[in-house]
Amino acid sequence: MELVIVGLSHRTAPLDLRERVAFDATEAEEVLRSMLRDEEMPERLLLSTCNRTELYALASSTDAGRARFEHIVRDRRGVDLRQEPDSLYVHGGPEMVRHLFRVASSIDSMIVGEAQVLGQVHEAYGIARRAGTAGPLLHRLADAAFRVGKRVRSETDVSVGAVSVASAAISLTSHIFWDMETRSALLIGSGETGALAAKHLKERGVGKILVANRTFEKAEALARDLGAVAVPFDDVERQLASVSILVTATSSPVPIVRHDTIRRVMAGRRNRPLLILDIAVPRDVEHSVKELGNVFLYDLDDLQELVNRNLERRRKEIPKVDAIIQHEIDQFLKWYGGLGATPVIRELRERFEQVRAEELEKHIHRFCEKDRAQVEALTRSLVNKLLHEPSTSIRGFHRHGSRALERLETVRELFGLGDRGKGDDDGD
Amino acid sequence: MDSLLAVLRCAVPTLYVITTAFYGMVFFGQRGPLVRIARPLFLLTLLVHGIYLATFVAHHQRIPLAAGAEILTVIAFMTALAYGYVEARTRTLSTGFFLLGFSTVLQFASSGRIALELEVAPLLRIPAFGVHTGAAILGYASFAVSAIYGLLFLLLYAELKSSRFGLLYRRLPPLEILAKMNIRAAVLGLASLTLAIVAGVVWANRLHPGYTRDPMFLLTILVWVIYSSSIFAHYRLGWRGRRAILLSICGFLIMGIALVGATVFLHGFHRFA
Repeated sequence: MELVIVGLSHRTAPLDLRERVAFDATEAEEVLRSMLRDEEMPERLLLSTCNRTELYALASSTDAGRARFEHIVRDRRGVDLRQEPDSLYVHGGPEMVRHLFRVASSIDSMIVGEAQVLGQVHEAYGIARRAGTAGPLLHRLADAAFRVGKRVRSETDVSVGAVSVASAAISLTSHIFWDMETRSALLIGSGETGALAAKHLKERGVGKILVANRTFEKAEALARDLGAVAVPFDDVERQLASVSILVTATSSPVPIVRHDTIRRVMAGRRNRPLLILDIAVPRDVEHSVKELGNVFLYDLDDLQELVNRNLERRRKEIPKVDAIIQHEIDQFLKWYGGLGATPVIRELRERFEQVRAEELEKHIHRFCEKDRAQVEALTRSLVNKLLHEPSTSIRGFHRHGSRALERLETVRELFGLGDRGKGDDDGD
Repeated sequence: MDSLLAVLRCAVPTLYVITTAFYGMVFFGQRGPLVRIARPLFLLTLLVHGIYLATFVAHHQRIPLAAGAEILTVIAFMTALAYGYVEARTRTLSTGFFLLGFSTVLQFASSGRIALELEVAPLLRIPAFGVHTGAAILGYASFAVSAIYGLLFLLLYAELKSSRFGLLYRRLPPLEILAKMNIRAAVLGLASLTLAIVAGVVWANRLHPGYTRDPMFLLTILVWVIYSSSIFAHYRLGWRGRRAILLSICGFLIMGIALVGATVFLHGFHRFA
């Protein structure tokens, strides 16, 4: 049995194909349940998001894993992946572990550092547990993957900084203002982009949002959707005296916010800072407004520059993430390597030998010199005889297929072998 | 107690260096368990510094304001204390590197020059005179804090205006917090300096009637006028941002010139005619 991952993602398959092979939570559970007694693939987990569909499994071989995955997709989706050989990737052994950790850490995502993927791995693991296809190996693997995800977020900057224009625009507010709930924002325009920005502002905790549009009815309709307040377009200059943030997103061919207007407004608001986010094309705000003191004006180019910088910074963090991943892989493989019958038998013998030696040391002084060698030989023989039957049974665990790992784990737990012997509960 | 003071005199700057290094790691974006030590280490440094000052007072039976080196350690302590307030208020550690760095420099200058036994003017042994000196030191420390936040404000302001989005953009707290800290520290400094001037004038009227020609007195009045104007402009005329902060930094520079001038040319704080 070996660790296998088979799947396709945004790196190998076009959106059209990814859409066709995606499974929702219910379908994923059904797929896993349908393979419940599959002896060639005793443990399995299906991760399906908008960017990837992957099967993680303990399988008899990588070929068997690939064949199962192709079968599932053909059977459930009617897609023959044999016709798309380049879209599929298969990794076995440590590379499977690395792949899962890269996914959980989000460095394999389309947008490096995105926050959702760890939750999606969590959900996929939950489905596998419900379906009864997650055994000791997947428990341990998922646990390690979650740890990688958490460590990467707390120890690196890979998730830091806005990476979409809308979120970059809104992130600027927190670099200028402190208490967002006491702030108000004015949105000029009732299009989709403006509405999205206003929604982000609301999520950021901006206390009050005003909406203005040349057509007042449109402003009212959008304000209703956003839980905002509509104001007449002619009232914009007066409103600007009190708001902290101005978002402009109209389709006007000429600037609607003039340098003179903002200069007057700034005098009226006693120079309190004003953040202007001009996300319109062509621009709604005269560029010279940027020269006014305490006015912070950003257009789409500025925001794109911020996004690019953040993405670059995230990419620079990848070596740190790789180091965390390598550390966790080593830990996992150490545990995994100890799961074979031979290491368990060896540890069991060492454990018995340790007990024998300790007890002998305690009591050997009760025997005269000439008896001591015999006592030594007797205890050794006793231990060997006691361990003969269990050792034979352990060597035969592989005949139990998917139960083999569970049985080995039970032996380890019963005799306190490996980490358990040191009192280190692995939490599984 | 001499040996305890000697140990603390070495321990305090060492702790400041280590703490500042940890805060530097925070500022430059280091993560992980090591960085979480920064705040407890800062609290330990404050505590040890506080013990050092208390031991000094207990041993010498006076407040440590008789010489430049003594004043520096008090300013270092008050700057760190002021930073502690800001950190607790803003829950951000990113300005600690600058404020504690400033305290570190002052503490090194102090520990290197401080004399265990000093011929102290009898005036400094009068507790009531401590009101003048204590208020003046608090004022200087507050102005220093104000100036550092003002400087950080100007740097962040420049990054934001030019859309550069560099290290300061990523690491510093919002512009508004920096401005608030600048003005609040300036207000505290002005109040303290006012008290120092009033208390000083009361003493000087009795002991040195010619105090109005004392260069230190005149420079202090100039600093007071600049900070008063800056604060008045902020609250009454709506001066915000760069202009108001440049004015307060100007006040700090004059204060620095006055202090350095007094130390180098007058060999003391005042030269009364």
